[in-house]
Amino acid sequence: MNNILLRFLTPFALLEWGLILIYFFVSHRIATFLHPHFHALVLISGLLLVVTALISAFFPHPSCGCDDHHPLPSVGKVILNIAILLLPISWAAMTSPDHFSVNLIRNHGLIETLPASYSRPASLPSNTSLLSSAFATPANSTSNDQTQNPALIPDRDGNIHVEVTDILYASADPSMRSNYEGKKVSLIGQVAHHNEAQTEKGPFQLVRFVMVCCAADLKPLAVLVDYPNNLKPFDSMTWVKVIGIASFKPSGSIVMPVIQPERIIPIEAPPDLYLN
Amino acid sequence: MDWFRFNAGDFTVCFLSLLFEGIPFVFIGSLLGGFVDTFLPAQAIEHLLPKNRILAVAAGASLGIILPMCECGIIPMIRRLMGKGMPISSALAYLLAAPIVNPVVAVSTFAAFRGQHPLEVTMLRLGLGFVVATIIGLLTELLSPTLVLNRSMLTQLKNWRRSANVPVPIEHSHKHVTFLEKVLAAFRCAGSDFLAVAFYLVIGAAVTSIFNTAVNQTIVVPVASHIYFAVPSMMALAFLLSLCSTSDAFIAANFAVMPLMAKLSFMVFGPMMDLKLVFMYSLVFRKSFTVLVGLSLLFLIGLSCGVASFIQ
Repeated sequence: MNNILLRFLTPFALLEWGLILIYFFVSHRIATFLHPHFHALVLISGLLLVVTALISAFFPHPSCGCDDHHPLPSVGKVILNIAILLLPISWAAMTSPDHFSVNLIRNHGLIETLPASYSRPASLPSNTSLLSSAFATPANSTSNDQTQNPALIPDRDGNIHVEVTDILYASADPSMRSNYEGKKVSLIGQVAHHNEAQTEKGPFQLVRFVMVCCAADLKPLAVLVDYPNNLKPFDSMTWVKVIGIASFKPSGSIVMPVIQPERIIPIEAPPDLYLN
Repeated sequence: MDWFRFNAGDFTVCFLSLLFEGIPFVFIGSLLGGFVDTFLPAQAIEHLLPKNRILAVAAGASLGIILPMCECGIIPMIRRLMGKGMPISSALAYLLAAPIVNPVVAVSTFAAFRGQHPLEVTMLRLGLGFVVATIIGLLTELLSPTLVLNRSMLTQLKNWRRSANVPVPIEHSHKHVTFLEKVLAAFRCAGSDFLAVAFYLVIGAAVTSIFNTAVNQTIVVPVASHIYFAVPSMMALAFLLSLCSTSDAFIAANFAVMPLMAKLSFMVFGPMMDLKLVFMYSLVFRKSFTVLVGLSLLFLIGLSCGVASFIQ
Protein backbone atom coordinates (compact mmCIF):
# COMPACT_ATOMS: atom_id res chain seq x y z
CA MET A 1 0.00 0.00 0.00
CA ASN A 2 2.69 2.47 0.98
CA ASN A 3 4.71 1.32 -2.03
CA ILE A 4 1.81 2.39 -4.27
CA LEU A 5 1.44 5.68 -2.36
CA LEU A 6 5.15 6.40 -2.72
CA ARG A 7 5.15 5.43 -6.38
CA PHE A 8 2.57 8.10 -7.16
CA LEU A 9 3.33 10.65 -4.44
CA THR A 10 6.66 11.72 -5.91
CA PRO A 11 5.48 12.60 -9.42
CA PHE A 12 2.23 14.07 -8.11
CA ALA A 13 3.97 16.34 -5.61
CA LEU A 14 6.57 17.44 -8.15
CA LEU A 15 3.83 18.16 -10.68
CA GLU A 16 1.83 20.19 -8.16
CA TRP A 17 4.81 22.32 -7.15
CA GLY A 18 5.82 22.84 -10.76
CA LEU A 19 2.35 23.89 -11.87
CA ILE A 20 1.97 26.30 -8.95
CA LEU A 21 5.24 28.01 -9.87
CA ILE A 22 4.27 28.22 -13.53
CA TYR A 23 0.82 29.59 -12.64
CA PHE A 24 2.21 32.36 -10.45
CA PHE A 25 4.65 33.37 -13.19
CA VAL A 26 2.13 33.31 -16.03
CA SER A 27 -0.52 35.18 -14.02
CA HIS A 28 2.09 37.81 -12.98
CA ARG A 29 1.10 37.25 -9.33
CA ILE A 30 4.74 36.43 -8.70
CA ALA A 31 5.44 40.19 -8.61
CA THR A 32 3.80 40.35 -5.18
CA PHE A 33 6.18 37.80 -3.75
CA LEU A 34 9.55 38.04 -5.40
CA HIS A 35 12.05 40.57 -6.80
CA PRO A 36 11.89 40.74 -10.63
CA HIS A 37 15.43 39.37 -10.89
CA PHE A 38 14.18 35.99 -9.67
CA HIS A 39 11.01 35.67 -11.74
CA ALA A 40 12.67 33.80 -14.59
CA LEU A 41 14.14 31.32 -12.11
CA VAL A 42 10.65 30.55 -10.87
CA LEU A 43 9.45 29.76 -14.39
CA ILE A 44 12.51 27.66 -15.23
CA SER A 45 12.31 25.66 -12.01
CA GLY A 46 8.57 25.20 -12.49
CA LEU A 47 9.11 23.75 -15.95
CA LEU A 48 11.94 21.53 -14.75
CA LEU A 49 9.81 20.27 -11.87
CA VAL A 50 7.11 19.27 -14.35
CA VAL A 51 9.72 17.49 -16.50
CA THR A 52 11.05 15.71 -13.40
CA ALA A 53 7.52 14.67 -12.47
CA LEU A 54 6.97 13.15 -15.89
CA ILE A 55 10.29 11.34 -15.75
CA SER A 56 9.46 9.96 -12.30
CA ALA A 57 6.06 8.83 -13.48
CA PHE A 58 6.97 7.28 -16.84
CA PHE A 59 10.57 6.23 -16.25
CA PRO A 60 10.61 4.77 -12.72
CA HIS A 61 13.97 3.60 -11.51
CA PRO A 62 15.09 0.16 -12.73
CA SER A 63 16.25 -2.49 -10.25
CA CYS A 64 19.88 -1.53 -10.66
CA GLY A 65 19.63 2.27 -10.84
CA CYS A 66 21.52 4.82 -8.78
CA ASP A 67 18.65 5.45 -6.42
CA ASP A 68 18.54 4.90 -2.70
CA HIS A 69 17.98 1.41 -1.37
CA HIS A 70 16.39 1.67 1.99
CA PRO A 71 13.33 0.28 3.73
CA LEU A 72 10.04 1.86 2.66
CA PRO A 73 8.71 4.43 5.13
CA SER A 74 5.59 3.66 7.14
CA VAL A 75 2.12 4.58 5.93
CA GLY A 76 1.96 7.23 8.64
CA LYS A 77 5.13 8.88 7.42
CA VAL A 78 3.90 8.80 3.83
CA ILE A 79 0.65 10.48 4.86
CA LEU A 80 2.62 13.08 6.84
CA ASN A 81 4.72 13.71 3.75
CA ILE A 82 1.58 14.17 1.67
CA ALA A 83 0.14 16.57 4.25
CA ILE A 84 3.26 18.73 4.53
CA LEU A 85 4.24 18.72 0.87
CA LEU A 86 0.86 19.18 -0.75
CA LEU A 87 -1.56 20.90 1.59
CA PRO A 88 0.17 24.09 2.85
CA ILE A 89 1.36 25.34 -0.51
CA SER A 90 -2.01 24.57 -2.13
CA TRP A 91 -3.88 26.35 0.64
CA ALA A 92 -1.56 29.36 0.50
CA ALA A 93 -1.73 29.55 -3.31
CA MET A 94 -5.53 29.52 -3.26
CA THR A 95 -6.09 31.94 -0.38
CA SER A 96 -3.17 34.36 -0.47
CA PRO A 97 -3.98 38.01 -1.11
CA ASP A 98 -1.76 40.06 -3.41
CA HIS A 99 -0.61 42.51 -0.76
CA PHE A 100 0.22 42.78 2.91
CA SER A 101 -2.24 44.29 5.36
CA VAL A 102 -1.68 47.24 7.69
CA ASN A 103 -0.93 44.64 10.38
CA LEU A 104 2.53 44.17 8.86
CA ILE A 105 3.29 47.85 9.26
CA ARG A 106 2.14 47.76 12.87
CA ASN A 107 4.42 44.80 13.58
CA HIS A 108 7.45 45.97 11.63
CA GLY A 109 7.28 49.68 12.35
CA LEU A 110 8.02 52.33 9.75
CA ILE A 111 11.30 53.78 8.56
CA GLU A 112 10.47 57.48 8.63
CA THR A 113 13.87 59.08 8.83
CA LEU A 114 17.45 58.37 8.11
CA PRO A 115 20.09 59.63 10.58
CA ALA A 116 22.33 62.51 9.51
CA SER A 117 25.33 60.15 9.61
CA TYR A 118 23.77 57.77 7.07
CA SER A 119 26.15 57.76 4.16
CA ARG A 120 25.08 57.39 0.59
CA PRO A 121 27.26 57.63 -2.45
CA ALA A 122 27.18 61.31 -3.42
CA SER A 123 27.80 60.54 -7.07
CA LEU A 124 24.54 58.67 -7.56
CA PRO A 125 21.69 60.48 -9.31
CA SER A 126 18.67 61.40 -7.25
CA ASN A 127 15.25 59.93 -7.94
CA THR A 128 16.82 56.53 -7.51
CA SER A 129 15.28 53.90 -5.28
CA LEU A 130 16.91 53.19 -1.96
CA LEU A 131 18.43 49.82 -2.64
CA SER A 132 18.71 49.69 -6.40
CA SER A 133 20.99 52.69 -6.02
CA ALA A 134 23.54 50.24 -4.65
CA PHE A 135 23.73 48.72 -8.11
CA ALA A 136 23.46 51.97 -10.10
CA THR A 137 26.37 53.07 -12.21
CA PRO A 138 27.68 56.24 -10.55
CA ALA A 139 26.96 59.34 -12.59
CA ASN A 140 29.96 61.41 -13.59
CA SER A 141 28.40 64.59 -12.30
CA THR A 142 27.76 65.23 -8.62
CA SER A 143 25.79 68.36 -9.36
CA ASN A 144 22.13 68.55 -8.43
CA ASP A 145 21.46 71.19 -11.08
CA GLN A 146 18.05 70.60 -12.64
CA THR A 147 19.43 71.12 -16.11
CA GLN A 148 21.67 68.07 -15.64
CA ASN A 149 19.18 65.78 -13.85
CA PRO A 150 15.96 65.40 -15.87
CA ALA A 151 14.26 63.75 -12.89
CA LEU A 152 14.24 67.10 -11.08
CA ILE A 153 12.55 69.03 -13.88
CA PRO A 154 8.92 69.82 -12.92
CA ASP A 155 6.14 68.55 -15.15
CA ARG A 156 3.75 70.95 -16.92
CA ASP A 157 1.75 71.27 -13.67
CA GLY A 158 4.89 72.38 -11.87
CA ASN A 159 5.26 69.17 -9.83
CA ILE A 160 8.51 67.27 -9.37
CA HIS A 161 7.82 63.52 -9.48
CA VAL A 162 9.55 61.79 -6.61
CA GLU A 163 9.45 58.57 -4.65
CA VAL A 164 9.24 58.25 -0.87
CA THR A 165 12.86 57.10 -0.95
CA ASP A 166 14.02 60.32 -2.62
CA ILE A 167 12.49 62.41 0.16
CA LEU A 168 14.05 60.18 2.82
CA TYR A 169 17.47 60.38 1.18
CA ALA A 170 17.12 64.15 1.01
CA SER A 171 16.34 64.23 4.73
CA ALA A 172 19.71 62.60 5.41
CA ASP A 173 21.72 64.49 2.79
CA PRO A 174 21.76 68.31 3.10
CA SER A 175 23.09 68.70 -0.45
CA MET A 176 19.95 67.03 -1.79
CA ARG A 177 17.41 68.93 0.26
CA SER A 178 17.55 72.02 -1.92
CA ASN A 179 16.20 69.85 -4.77
CA TYR A 180 12.89 69.50 -2.94
CA GLU A 181 12.61 71.90 0.01
CA GLY A 182 9.79 74.37 -0.48
CA LYS A 183 9.00 72.88 -3.89
CA LYS A 184 5.88 71.18 -5.10
CA VAL A 185 6.37 67.42 -5.33
CA SER A 186 4.16 64.58 -6.47
CA LEU A 187 4.49 61.09 -5.00
CA ILE A 188 2.43 57.95 -4.60
CA GLY A 189 2.09 55.46 -1.78
CA GLN A 190 -0.25 53.74 0.63
CA VAL A 191 -1.93 55.40 3.58
CA ALA A 192 -0.86 54.25 7.04
CA HIS A 193 -2.14 56.07 10.10
CA HIS A 194 0.13 57.80 12.52
CA ASN A 195 -0.61 56.64 15.98
CA GLU A 196 -0.88 53.34 17.74
CA ALA A 197 -4.58 53.82 18.26
CA GLN A 198 -4.88 54.09 14.49
CA THR A 199 -7.50 56.83 14.60
CA GLU A 200 -8.01 57.81 11.06
CA LYS A 201 -8.25 61.62 11.16
CA GLY A 202 -5.35 63.94 10.72
CA PRO A 203 -1.78 63.34 9.52
CA PHE A 204 -0.81 59.97 8.06
CA GLN A 205 2.30 58.25 6.75
CA LEU A 206 2.62 57.70 3.04
CA VAL A 207 4.24 54.27 2.74
CA ARG A 208 6.17 52.49 0.01
CA PHE A 209 7.60 49.05 0.58
CA VAL A 210 11.15 48.34 -0.52
CA MET A 211 11.92 44.77 -1.55
CA VAL A 212 15.44 43.37 -1.79
CA CYS A 213 14.81 39.70 -2.52
CA CYS A 214 11.32 38.62 -1.62
CA ALA A 215 8.22 39.81 0.25
CA ALA A 216 9.61 38.38 3.49
CA ASP A 217 12.27 41.11 3.63
CA LEU A 218 10.00 44.05 2.77
CA LYS A 219 10.81 47.28 4.59
CA PRO A 220 8.09 49.94 4.88
CA LEU A 221 9.48 53.43 4.24
CA ALA A 222 7.26 56.38 5.03
CA VAL A 223 6.95 60.13 4.73
CA LEU A 224 4.62 62.10 6.96
CA VAL A 225 1.76 63.86 5.16
CA ASP A 226 0.36 66.69 7.26
CA TYR A 227 -3.28 65.99 6.43
CA PRO A 228 -5.75 68.31 8.16
CA ASN A 229 -7.85 66.92 11.04
CA ASN A 230 -11.10 68.31 9.71
CA LEU A 231 -11.08 66.44 6.41
CA LYS A 232 -12.49 62.99 5.68
CA PRO A 233 -9.81 60.38 6.32
CA PHE A 234 -8.56 57.72 3.94
CA ASP A 235 -8.77 54.02 4.77
CA SER A 236 -5.55 52.29 5.72
CA MET A 237 -3.51 50.89 2.82
CA THR A 238 -5.41 52.98 0.24
CA TRP A 239 -3.22 53.94 -2.70
CA VAL A 240 -3.07 57.70 -3.13
CA LYS A 241 -1.18 60.33 -5.08
CA VAL A 242 -0.08 63.23 -2.93
CA ILE A 243 0.80 66.61 -4.43
CA GLY A 244 2.21 69.08 -1.95
CA ILE A 245 5.12 71.12 -0.66
CA ALA A 246 8.09 69.24 0.78
CA SER A 247 9.75 70.49 3.94
CA PHE A 248 12.43 69.15 6.26
CA LYS A 249 12.15 69.84 9.98
CA PRO A 250 15.08 69.24 12.36
CA SER A 251 14.23 67.15 15.37
CA GLY A 252 17.29 66.64 17.53
CA SER A 253 19.95 64.86 15.49
CA ILE A 254 17.56 63.83 12.74
CA VAL A 255 15.64 65.67 10.08
CA MET A 256 11.99 64.79 9.54
CA PRO A 257 10.57 65.14 6.04
CA VAL A 258 6.98 66.39 5.88
CA ILE A 259 4.66 66.95 2.94
CA GLN A 260 2.12 69.77 3.22
CA PRO A 261 -0.57 68.42 0.90
CA GLU A 262 -2.40 70.52 -1.66
CA ARG A 263 -4.15 67.61 -3.39
CA ILE A 264 -4.58 63.94 -2.51
CA ILE A 265 -6.07 61.68 -5.16
CA PRO A 266 -7.00 58.00 -4.64
CA ILE A 267 -5.42 55.86 -7.37
CA GLU A 268 -5.29 52.25 -8.49
CA ALA A 269 -2.37 50.17 -7.27
CA PRO A 270 0.57 50.72 -9.64
CA PRO A 271 2.06 47.83 -11.64
CA ASP A 272 5.22 48.05 -9.51
CA LEU A 273 3.85 47.44 -6.05
CA TYR A 274 7.28 47.69 -4.45
CA LEU A 275 10.41 49.73 -4.91
CA ASN A 276 13.38 47.51 -5.65
CA MET B 1 1.16 47.11 23.06
CA ASP B 2 0.36 43.63 21.68
CA TRP B 3 3.42 41.52 20.99
CA PHE B 4 1.58 38.96 18.80
CA ARG B 5 -0.90 39.98 16.08
CA PHE B 6 -1.57 37.27 13.49
CA ASN B 7 -3.07 37.91 10.06
CA ALA B 8 -3.64 34.87 7.84
CA GLY B 9 -3.27 36.86 4.63
CA ASP B 10 0.08 38.32 5.70
CA PHE B 11 1.23 34.86 6.74
CA THR B 12 0.42 33.33 3.35
CA VAL B 13 2.15 36.16 1.45
CA CYS B 14 5.32 35.76 3.50
CA PHE B 15 5.11 31.95 3.39
CA LEU B 16 4.77 31.84 -0.39
CA SER B 17 7.53 34.41 -0.88
CA LEU B 18 9.96 32.27 1.14
CA LEU B 19 8.99 29.18 -0.86
CA PHE B 20 9.26 30.93 -4.23
CA GLU B 21 12.64 32.29 -3.25
CA GLY B 22 13.94 28.95 -1.98
CA ILE B 23 12.41 26.40 -4.38
CA PRO B 24 14.54 27.28 -7.44
CA PHE B 25 17.74 26.98 -5.45
CA VAL B 26 16.67 23.76 -3.73
CA PHE B 27 15.90 22.29 -7.15
CA ILE B 28 19.18 23.50 -8.64
CA GLY B 29 21.03 21.95 -5.72
CA SER B 30 19.06 18.72 -6.09
CA LEU B 31 19.68 18.56 -9.82
CA LEU B 32 23.41 19.20 -9.38
CA GLY B 33 23.45 16.54 -6.69
CA GLY B 34 21.64 14.14 -9.01
CA PHE B 35 24.20 14.65 -11.76
CA VAL B 36 27.04 14.32 -9.24
CA ASP B 37 25.56 11.05 -8.09
CA THR B 38 25.01 9.67 -11.57
CA PHE B 39 28.07 10.85 -13.42
CA LEU B 40 30.78 11.08 -10.82
CA PRO B 41 32.55 7.79 -10.11
CA ALA B 42 32.27 6.35 -6.63
CA GLN B 43 34.70 7.78 -4.10
CA ALA B 44 35.75 10.39 -6.65
CA ILE B 45 35.60 13.25 -4.18
CA GLU B 46 37.81 11.39 -1.75
CA HIS B 47 40.52 11.19 -4.43
CA LEU B 48 40.13 14.86 -5.39
CA LEU B 49 40.44 16.30 -1.89
CA PRO B 50 43.86 16.74 -0.21
CA LYS B 51 44.87 13.84 1.98
CA ASN B 52 45.73 16.19 4.87
CA ARG B 53 42.53 16.54 6.89
CA ILE B 54 43.02 20.23 7.69
CA LEU B 55 43.56 21.06 4.05
CA ALA B 56 40.60 18.88 3.07
CA VAL B 57 38.31 20.80 5.44
CA ALA B 58 39.68 24.13 4.22
CA ALA B 59 39.10 22.95 0.63
CA GLY B 60 35.51 22.12 1.56
CA ALA B 61 35.05 25.61 3.00
CA SER B 62 36.41 27.17 -0.22
CA LEU B 63 34.32 25.04 -2.55
CA GLY B 64 31.63 27.72 -2.66
CA ILE B 65 33.91 29.85 -4.83
CA ILE B 66 33.52 27.41 -7.75
CA LEU B 67 30.24 25.79 -6.68
CA PRO B 68 28.25 28.70 -5.22
CA MET B 69 24.97 27.71 -3.62
CA CYS B 70 22.54 29.36 -1.29
CA GLU B 71 21.80 27.74 2.04
CA CYS B 72 18.61 26.06 0.76
CA GLY B 73 20.17 24.37 -2.24
CA ILE B 74 23.27 23.09 -0.56
CA ILE B 75 21.66 20.40 1.57
CA PRO B 76 20.71 18.05 -1.27
CA MET B 77 24.17 18.68 -2.75
CA ILE B 78 26.14 17.62 0.31
CA ARG B 79 24.11 14.44 0.72
CA ARG B 80 25.23 13.29 -2.70
CA LEU B 81 28.78 14.60 -2.24
CA MET B 82 29.11 12.55 0.96
CA GLY B 83 27.83 9.57 -1.00
CA LYS B 84 30.75 10.08 -3.37
CA GLY B 85 33.34 9.99 -0.61
CA MET B 86 33.39 13.55 0.70
CA PRO B 87 34.31 13.39 4.40
CA ILE B 88 31.64 14.65 6.77
CA SER B 89 33.96 17.37 8.07
CA SER B 90 34.58 18.77 4.58
CA ALA B 91 30.89 18.51 3.72
CA LEU B 92 29.95 20.43 6.85
CA ALA B 93 32.55 23.10 6.11
CA TYR B 94 31.11 23.44 2.60
CA LEU B 95 27.57 23.57 3.99
CA LEU B 96 28.40 26.39 6.39
CA ALA B 97 30.74 28.40 4.18
CA ALA B 98 29.21 28.14 0.71
CA PRO B 99 26.29 30.53 1.36
CA ILE B 100 28.85 33.20 2.34
CA VAL B 101 32.15 32.41 0.61
CA ASN B 102 30.97 32.79 -2.96
CA PRO B 103 31.21 35.43 -5.68
CA VAL B 104 27.51 36.33 -5.68
CA VAL B 105 27.45 37.15 -1.97
CA ALA B 106 30.74 39.03 -2.27
CA VAL B 107 29.24 41.30 -4.93
CA SER B 108 25.96 41.82 -3.08
CA THR B 109 27.77 42.62 0.19
CA PHE B 110 30.03 45.12 -1.57
CA ALA B 111 27.02 46.75 -3.22
CA ALA B 112 25.02 46.90 -0.01
CA PHE B 113 27.79 48.59 1.96
CA ARG B 114 28.75 51.23 -0.59
CA GLY B 115 29.80 54.27 1.35
CA GLN B 116 30.39 52.16 4.48
CA HIS B 117 33.86 50.67 3.81
CA PRO B 118 32.50 48.04 1.40
CA LEU B 119 35.78 46.29 0.66
CA GLU B 120 36.66 45.84 4.32
CA VAL B 121 33.17 44.62 5.18
CA THR B 122 33.14 42.16 2.29
CA MET B 123 36.53 40.75 3.17
CA LEU B 124 35.63 40.53 6.86
CA ARG B 125 32.42 38.70 6.04
CA LEU B 126 34.01 36.18 3.69
CA GLY B 127 37.05 35.74 5.91
CA LEU B 128 35.09 35.19 9.11
CA GLY B 129 32.72 32.83 7.32
CA PHE B 130 35.62 30.78 5.99
CA VAL B 131 37.43 30.60 9.34
CA VAL B 132 34.34 29.68 11.36
CA ALA B 133 33.26 27.01 8.86
CA THR B 134 36.77 25.50 8.84
CA ILE B 135 36.98 25.42 12.64
CA ILE B 136 33.60 23.73 12.96
CA GLY B 137 34.52 21.28 10.21
CA LEU B 138 37.75 20.39 12.02
CA LEU B 139 35.95 19.95 15.35
CA THR B 140 33.61 17.50 13.62
CA GLU B 141 36.63 15.31 12.91
CA LEU B 142 36.67 14.54 16.63
CA LEU B 143 33.16 13.08 16.52
CA SER B 144 32.02 9.70 15.32
CA PRO B 145 29.65 9.77 12.31
CA THR B 146 26.97 8.17 14.49
CA LEU B 147 26.98 11.29 16.65
CA VAL B 148 26.78 13.62 13.66
CA LEU B 149 24.50 12.08 11.04
CA ASN B 150 20.94 10.95 11.63
CA ARG B 151 20.02 7.32 11.25
CA SER B 152 18.50 7.71 7.80
CA MET B 153 21.57 9.48 6.44
CA LEU B 154 23.92 6.90 7.99
CA THR B 155 21.96 4.07 6.39
CA GLN B 156 21.98 5.81 3.01
CA LEU B 157 25.72 6.41 3.23
CA LYS B 158 26.37 2.77 4.07
CA ASN B 159 24.20 1.65 1.14
CA TRP B 160 25.83 4.07 -1.31
CA ARG B 161 29.32 3.03 -0.25
CA ARG B 162 28.43 -0.66 -0.22
CA SER B 163 27.09 -0.45 -3.77
CA ALA B 164 30.32 1.29 -4.77
CA ASN B 165 32.34 -1.67 -3.46
CA VAL B 166 30.16 -4.55 -4.69
CA PRO B 167 31.42 -6.06 -7.97
CA VAL B 168 29.03 -5.85 -10.89
CA PRO B 169 27.10 -9.16 -11.23
CA ILE B 170 27.97 -11.17 -14.31
CA GLU B 171 24.50 -10.77 -15.82
CA HIS B 172 25.00 -7.00 -15.76
CA SER B 173 28.64 -6.91 -16.73
CA HIS B 174 27.91 -6.30 -20.37
CA LYS B 175 25.03 -3.88 -19.65
CA HIS B 176 25.88 -0.49 -21.04
CA VAL B 177 24.12 2.40 -19.38
CA THR B 178 23.44 5.01 -22.02
CA PHE B 179 23.91 8.72 -21.49
CA LEU B 180 20.12 9.21 -21.66
CA GLU B 181 19.53 6.63 -18.94
CA LYS B 182 22.06 8.40 -16.74
CA VAL B 183 20.32 11.73 -17.33
CA LEU B 184 16.95 10.18 -16.44
CA ALA B 185 18.48 8.69 -13.31
CA ALA B 186 19.90 12.11 -12.38
CA PHE B 187 16.44 13.67 -12.67
CA ARG B 188 14.89 10.88 -10.58
CA CYS B 189 17.51 11.47 -7.88
CA ALA B 190 16.87 15.21 -8.10
CA GLY B 191 13.13 14.70 -7.71
CA SER B 192 13.37 12.57 -4.58
CA ASP B 193 16.05 14.83 -3.05
CA PHE B 194 13.99 17.92 -3.82
CA LEU B 195 10.94 16.56 -2.02
CA ALA B 196 13.02 15.40 0.92
CA VAL B 197 14.39 18.94 1.38
CA ALA B 198 11.11 20.67 0.49
CA PHE B 199 9.42 18.85 3.37
CA TYR B 200 11.62 20.72 5.83
CA LEU B 201 11.61 23.95 3.81
CA VAL B 202 7.82 24.10 4.15
CA ILE B 203 8.00 23.68 7.92
CA GLY B 204 10.83 26.20 8.27
CA ALA B 205 9.12 28.75 6.02
CA ALA B 206 5.90 28.44 8.00
CA VAL B 207 7.59 29.04 11.34
CA THR B 208 9.63 31.94 9.94
CA SER B 209 6.52 33.50 8.44
CA ILE B 210 4.78 33.47 11.80
CA PHE B 211 7.65 35.43 13.34
CA ASN B 212 7.99 37.74 10.38
CA THR B 213 4.35 38.76 10.19
CA ALA B 214 2.81 38.21 13.59
CA VAL B 215 5.44 39.20 16.16
CA ASN B 216 5.69 42.88 17.02
CA GLN B 217 9.30 43.58 16.05
CA THR B 218 9.13 47.17 17.26
CA ILE B 219 9.35 45.73 20.78
CA VAL B 220 12.21 43.38 20.00
CA VAL B 221 14.53 45.51 17.88
CA PRO B 222 15.14 48.49 20.22
CA VAL B 223 16.57 46.13 22.85
CA ALA B 224 19.36 45.38 20.43
CA SER B 225 20.70 48.91 20.22
CA HIS B 226 22.60 48.68 23.54
CA ILE B 227 26.26 47.91 22.90
CA TYR B 228 26.30 44.85 25.18
CA PHE B 229 23.29 43.39 23.40
CA ALA B 230 24.11 44.43 19.84
CA VAL B 231 26.03 41.34 18.69
CA PRO B 232 23.87 38.64 20.34
CA SER B 233 20.64 40.37 19.42
CA MET B 234 21.68 40.81 15.78
CA MET B 235 22.50 37.11 15.65
CA ALA B 236 19.12 36.32 17.18
CA LEU B 237 17.44 38.56 14.62
CA ALA B 238 19.33 36.85 11.79
CA PHE B 239 18.18 33.49 13.14
CA LEU B 240 14.54 34.55 13.28
CA LEU B 241 14.33 36.49 10.01
CA SER B 242 15.86 33.63 7.96
CA LEU B 243 16.95 35.88 5.11
CA CYS B 244 18.89 34.55 2.16
CA SER B 245 22.57 35.42 2.06
CA THR B 246 22.29 37.54 -1.09
CA SER B 247 19.82 39.96 0.51
CA ASP B 248 20.77 40.03 4.18
CA ALA B 249 23.63 42.46 3.53
CA PHE B 250 21.15 45.12 2.39
CA ILE B 251 19.09 44.62 5.52
CA ALA B 252 22.18 44.72 7.74
CA ALA B 253 23.55 47.83 6.03
CA ASN B 254 20.37 49.74 6.86
CA PHE B 255 20.63 49.10 10.61
CA ALA B 256 22.18 52.54 11.01
CA VAL B 257 22.30 52.45 14.82
CA MET B 258 24.17 49.15 14.97
CA PRO B 259 27.97 48.94 15.18
CA LEU B 260 29.74 47.30 12.26
CA MET B 261 30.67 44.16 14.17
CA ALA B 262 27.03 43.56 15.08
CA LYS B 263 26.07 43.83 11.41
CA LEU B 264 28.90 41.42 10.58
CA SER B 265 27.62 38.88 13.09
CA PHE B 266 24.18 39.19 11.46
CA MET B 267 25.65 38.48 8.01
CA VAL B 268 27.80 35.53 9.09
CA PHE B 269 25.52 33.77 11.56
CA GLY B 270 22.28 34.02 9.55
CA PRO B 271 23.35 32.06 6.42
CA MET B 272 24.83 29.33 8.64
CA MET B 273 22.01 28.87 11.11
CA ASP B 274 18.48 30.22 10.99
CA LEU B 275 14.96 29.09 11.79
CA LYS B 276 14.42 27.62 8.36
CA LEU B 277 17.76 25.80 8.29
CA VAL B 278 17.24 24.19 11.69
CA PHE B 279 14.46 22.13 10.12
CA MET B 280 16.33 21.48 6.88
CA TYR B 281 19.48 20.31 8.66
CA SER B 282 17.46 17.53 10.31
CA LEU B 283 17.39 15.82 6.91
CA VAL B 284 21.09 15.09 7.36
CA PHE B 285 22.17 15.66 10.95
CA ARG B 286 21.06 14.52 14.35
CA LYS B 287 19.09 17.14 16.29
CA SER B 288 21.68 17.15 19.07
CA PHE B 289 24.45 17.84 16.55
CA THR B 290 22.48 20.70 15.00
CA VAL B 291 22.10 22.24 18.45
CA LEU B 292 25.83 21.76 19.06
CA VAL B 293 26.71 23.47 15.77
CA GLY B 294 24.34 26.33 16.60
CA LEU B 295 25.92 26.87 20.00
CA SER B 296 29.41 26.67 18.49
CA LEU B 297 28.51 29.28 15.89
CA LEU B 298 27.05 31.54 18.58
CA PHE B 299 30.25 31.22 20.57
CA LEU B 300 32.75 31.63 17.73
CA ILE B 301 30.97 34.44 15.88
CA GLY B 302 29.73 36.12 19.04
CA LEU B 303 33.17 36.08 20.63
CA SER B 304 35.07 37.34 17.60
CA CYS B 305 32.55 40.07 16.74
CA GLY B 306 31.95 40.99 20.37
CA VAL B 307 35.63 41.40 21.19
CA ALA B 308 36.24 43.31 17.97
CA SER B 309 33.35 45.70 18.67
CA PHE B 310 34.86 46.64 22.03
CA ILE B 311 38.29 47.13 20.53
CA GLN B 312 36.92 49.33 17.72
